[in-house]
Amino acid sequence: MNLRIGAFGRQESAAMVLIAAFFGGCFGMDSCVLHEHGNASWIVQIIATVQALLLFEGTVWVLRVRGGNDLSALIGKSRFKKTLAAPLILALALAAMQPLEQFLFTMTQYVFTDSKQVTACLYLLPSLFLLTALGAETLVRTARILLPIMLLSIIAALLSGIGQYHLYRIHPIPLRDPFGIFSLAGAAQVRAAAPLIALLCIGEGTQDRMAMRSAGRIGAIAGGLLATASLFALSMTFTYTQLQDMPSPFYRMLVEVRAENPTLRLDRAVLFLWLGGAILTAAFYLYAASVLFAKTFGVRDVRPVALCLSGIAITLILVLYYNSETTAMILKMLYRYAWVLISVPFPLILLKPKRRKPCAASY
Amino acid sequence: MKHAFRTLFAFDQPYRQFELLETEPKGTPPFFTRRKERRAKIGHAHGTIEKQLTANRKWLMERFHTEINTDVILRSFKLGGTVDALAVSMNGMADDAKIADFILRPAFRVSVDGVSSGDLPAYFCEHALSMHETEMTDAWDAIVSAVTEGRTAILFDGAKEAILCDTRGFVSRPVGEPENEMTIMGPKEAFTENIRTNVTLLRRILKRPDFVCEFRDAGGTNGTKLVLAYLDGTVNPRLLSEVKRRLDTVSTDMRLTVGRLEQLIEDYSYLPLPQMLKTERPDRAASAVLDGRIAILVEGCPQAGVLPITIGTLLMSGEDLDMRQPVGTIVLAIRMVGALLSTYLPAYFLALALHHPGQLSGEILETVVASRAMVFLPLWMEMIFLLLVFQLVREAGLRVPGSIGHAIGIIGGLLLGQAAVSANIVSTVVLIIVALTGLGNFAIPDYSAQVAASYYRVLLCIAAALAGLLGITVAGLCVTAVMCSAKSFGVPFFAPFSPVTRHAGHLLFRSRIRNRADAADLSNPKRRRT
Amino acid sequence: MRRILLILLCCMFFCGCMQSKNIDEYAYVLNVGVERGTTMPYLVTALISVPGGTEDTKVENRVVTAEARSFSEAYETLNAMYPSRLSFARASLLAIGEDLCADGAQTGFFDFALGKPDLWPNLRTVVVKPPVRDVFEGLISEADPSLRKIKTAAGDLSDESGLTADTGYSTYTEAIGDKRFDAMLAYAGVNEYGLTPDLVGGEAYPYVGGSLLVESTLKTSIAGSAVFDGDRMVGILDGRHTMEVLMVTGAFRKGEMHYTLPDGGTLRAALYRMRAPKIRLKNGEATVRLYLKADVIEPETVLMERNALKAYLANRLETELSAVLAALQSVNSDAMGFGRFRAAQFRSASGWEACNWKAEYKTLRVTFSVTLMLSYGVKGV
Repeated sequence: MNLRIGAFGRQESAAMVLIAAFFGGCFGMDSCVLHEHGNASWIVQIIATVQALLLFEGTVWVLRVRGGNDLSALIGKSRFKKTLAAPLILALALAAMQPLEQFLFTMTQYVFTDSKQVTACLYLLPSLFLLTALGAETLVRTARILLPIMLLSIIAALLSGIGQYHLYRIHPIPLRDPFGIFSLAGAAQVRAAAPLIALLCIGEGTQDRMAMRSAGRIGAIAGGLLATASLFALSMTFTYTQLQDMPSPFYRMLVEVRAENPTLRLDRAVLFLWLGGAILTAAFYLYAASVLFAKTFGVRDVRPVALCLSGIAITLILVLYYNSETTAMILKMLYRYAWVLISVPFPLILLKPKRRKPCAASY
Repeated sequence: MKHAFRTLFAFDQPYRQFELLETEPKGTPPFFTRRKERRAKIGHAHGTIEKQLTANRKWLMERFHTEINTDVILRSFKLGGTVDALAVSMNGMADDAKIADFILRPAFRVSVDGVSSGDLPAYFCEHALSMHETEMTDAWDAIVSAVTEGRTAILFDGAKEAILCDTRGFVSRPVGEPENEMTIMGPKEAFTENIRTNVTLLRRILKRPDFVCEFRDAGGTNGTKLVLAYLDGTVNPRLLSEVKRRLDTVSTDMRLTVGRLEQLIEDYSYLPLPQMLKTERPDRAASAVLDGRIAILVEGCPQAGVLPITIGTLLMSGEDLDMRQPVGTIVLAIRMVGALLSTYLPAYFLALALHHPGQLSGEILETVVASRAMVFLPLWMEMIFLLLVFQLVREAGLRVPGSIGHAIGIIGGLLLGQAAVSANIVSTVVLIIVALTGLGNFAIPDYSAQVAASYYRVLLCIAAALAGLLGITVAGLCVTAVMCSAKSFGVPFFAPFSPVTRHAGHLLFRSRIRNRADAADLSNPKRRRT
Repeated sequence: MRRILLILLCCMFFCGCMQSKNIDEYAYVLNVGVERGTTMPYLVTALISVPGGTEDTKVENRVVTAEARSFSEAYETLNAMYPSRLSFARASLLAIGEDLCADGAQTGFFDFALGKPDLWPNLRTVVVKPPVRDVFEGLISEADPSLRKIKTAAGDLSDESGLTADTGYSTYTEAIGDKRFDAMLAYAGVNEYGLTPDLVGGEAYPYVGGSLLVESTLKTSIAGSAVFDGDRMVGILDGRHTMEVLMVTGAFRKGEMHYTLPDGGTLRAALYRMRAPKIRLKNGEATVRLYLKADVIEPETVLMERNALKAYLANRLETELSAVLAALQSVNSDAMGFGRFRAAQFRSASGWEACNWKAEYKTLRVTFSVTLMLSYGVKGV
């Protein structure tokens, strides 16, 4: 088997989860849907992060009880392993597509206005191919290297817009509509849970369940908090009515700063730096999906699967632009109800844990 | 190239990489497994000497082509006036006076009555030969190798063994100052071409019993020697055995240098960054050895190869730790900025000027546009042209000796630049960008890393010209990912940052120097920090 | 198969090159303005910077105009009539003609996607007294090396004096799209702008603030502000009344006030904001507490006793604020932004959307209370 998982430490895996949680949380959202009940994206993000953490902790606990290092160890024991793995692979692929799609839209709408989407996509493909083919070890190490720069850019972006923040814009907080909030949190759940599911898929690389658990916890909590802070900043920059019509709210937030800055404008540098983070996130999800696929379906090499999945994901994104409204609608609906893809198989995977002999427990 | 394609596209190949940090392959690599095969293949093994001196003499005459190769001196003499003997040496490599005074003169005087033919070498060694370093051997390979490196072989009629005496006395360059790694503080000694001198230079710094200098055959027909220098008990034994295993696979007729040896034993042939640090400073090599790394000295090469290395090693200079912490931090920060400018500045400028002009402030826009008013070349072509000119000036300055080299730098930099601007071939702003890039490039201490930065610079410039910041992002991400996946002899290139290992904080930001008695953690040394 | 895959990968790098132009193939628009056209609905004016224009200045500024039915059409027309491609990326001022604002016709014009002309979304937006061309030409000065620096100074004017509003296009669109507050834009004109009547009326203001000293025949000035009801401009506030609105919205930092005192003396006071204003809204009644510090600039001209002066000033400010609010309520403009506090009382978006805030605003009773700290002898703002 050539799964190219390798071995990596806690900090690297936590960095990858953090980056994925942030970019998934902030750049995967459909702004129109998320703000239909008011400026509640930050509340939704908190709920989705908590849900994802509960799911992760539950899975790790079952792994401990049953014995195993990754998700495929749980799925592999099930009679319907292919049926259980397929929705998770689809969910990861969808989670990978969302940030890429949003960045692609931002690029073609605001930056390369004279160029076609397919051209921009062709630039994304080689990096996706390379990152997924190089494997988990490279992905997480790249994440660890890029993390300080990403954090710096995010914090700088949040601080530079501080003059534009006004607390009145977060009102009305839709607390009277818990059903609406929870339905939105459900839609956000895939984005919040995807980094942890991906980590569970490549769990054997973390060398230890304990390391995987702490990396997942730290990454998801830090990434979730950062995403929540960013969404809160976004809510203070625009009202919910503005956000409903805003396809790329974070880029708009970057350019809200006044134009008379005598030095360089850095909004596009930051945008493309974040694009790097989004590509890394997408590659992480696609690679994890490929590993799960390879392990469940018995493919001996992860790279053909990773290349195919990357190609399919990019093609589907292009379909959104070039095909009819119906196709776009189907994909949007898939994004919105992708939580079903996680919520159905996971309880089945985690059902009836068999308690192992106490002496064999590793922690 | 074929290997790179195979690595990329050969599916279902197991993940085979030497990894020191986490993945622990079962067992240790075997020692010297392929030596016999290699020897047989290139015809190295020539058996042992005969008892008859005439036969041995004939063999040597044939082997060294003495009828045309007048360098080889076959001096026949009678040991103690009775036994036929032969002293073989290489003219110019061996010291004539040493041979005459310490071999021939005692040989004529010694009495060998009653000594059997077979015991003659041992007897001569013990009773007559007044030389410090001697060795008995019966292998032709050893004799030939010894003669070619300046030692003298003494063969006796009736004896199955020969004596090898150290009579090396060739002319060599004295220890000088480093030419490429100049520092203001710290020692001023540099390695020479003489491997013995180089080992001595290291030993003068590392006066400890666990410092091992392992002399080895570098491989190939030239008989070049190399030295593996390391601290026994500190260096990771798996790293040592892996290096030995790789060195053992070297089988070439090329003249070996550290640079060539690096390419023969490295993992990633197509990575522009070096995977071994080549230093001409003994103090730097010694510091690396103290950190648990291995230094390789090759005969005839005035540099030492240090391995494994990381990106931090390439950006460190020999005197960084000699400076005080606050000053050292600033110097390091400037160097990092220089390295970043050198790699990214021209590409970023191209991206802004071609694709995102709105990112530049009005004043900068006006200046840039005004400077390009009469320039006929497109901006991207202008940039690539100037970068090439810069490399040209640099190469010309490097290859031309001394003061003329400096003059070329000045002429190229000032006159050519001024003339190009006057002739409207280039604009002043692009000239300034390229000059800044060049300065940044010179801030990188390692020459190989400088060249690698130039490679990445051109790659990023092309990406920026094609797709602006999108191109830079994609190319930058690919470059970073490839560098993250690369390892120098099992140590990931970005260690100790990714993967994170314990380190003293002297790599990107200087921390205080503290008393410590442990090696760098990144190669998993035996004596590690707690 | 592998070779085919490799060739495909290589092709990908070369088949798509993003569209680009050299930096010197663009002409950069500094200001863009729109007013009512004669033959078509809109007349678009652009102030263009042409680098390398003359030997001395290196930069030449030109004003070009085009009539069009929409912004994109104007964009195409301007591009067609100008030899270089126009880039709006560095535009920093958007001027809207007063005639257009009066009936809210500007809203349809600016329904453009942000991307196409690469226009900065939060560029400074002002209402100008037509013609826009004159206003732009009034800004051009051969004596000043950089037009941008003048505009930066104009931006600072609001912060330094409080005599004019400094509103970005983003905030302006937010005000139009959301009913929490109404827009208040800076008001600019050429030479005679000061004759435009103030919405509140009353005592004539003794000085004109914010005049940009530009040495040219036309003299462009910015002072006071235009107030809106939704997308319709409903009146003009002079510098002092603008300052008082800004005190309530929280945008006021510092400014200067001139008063004639009851005893015949004159008072010049530098005002500073001490704390953010505290506004409470409940059952159709609002209380506004302002915390200000006043430095009397020429104490020798003031004869009143300290406590009496303090009480007089606070009282005067409260009266003037009430007058401004009444004037704004009369034209249905919530420029002070009380709607922001009304929106915070709702716990669902649908509830807020169902609320008829403008009707409530008409009858809103507001009590202003000014807490003043008085000091003497500071040189002023």
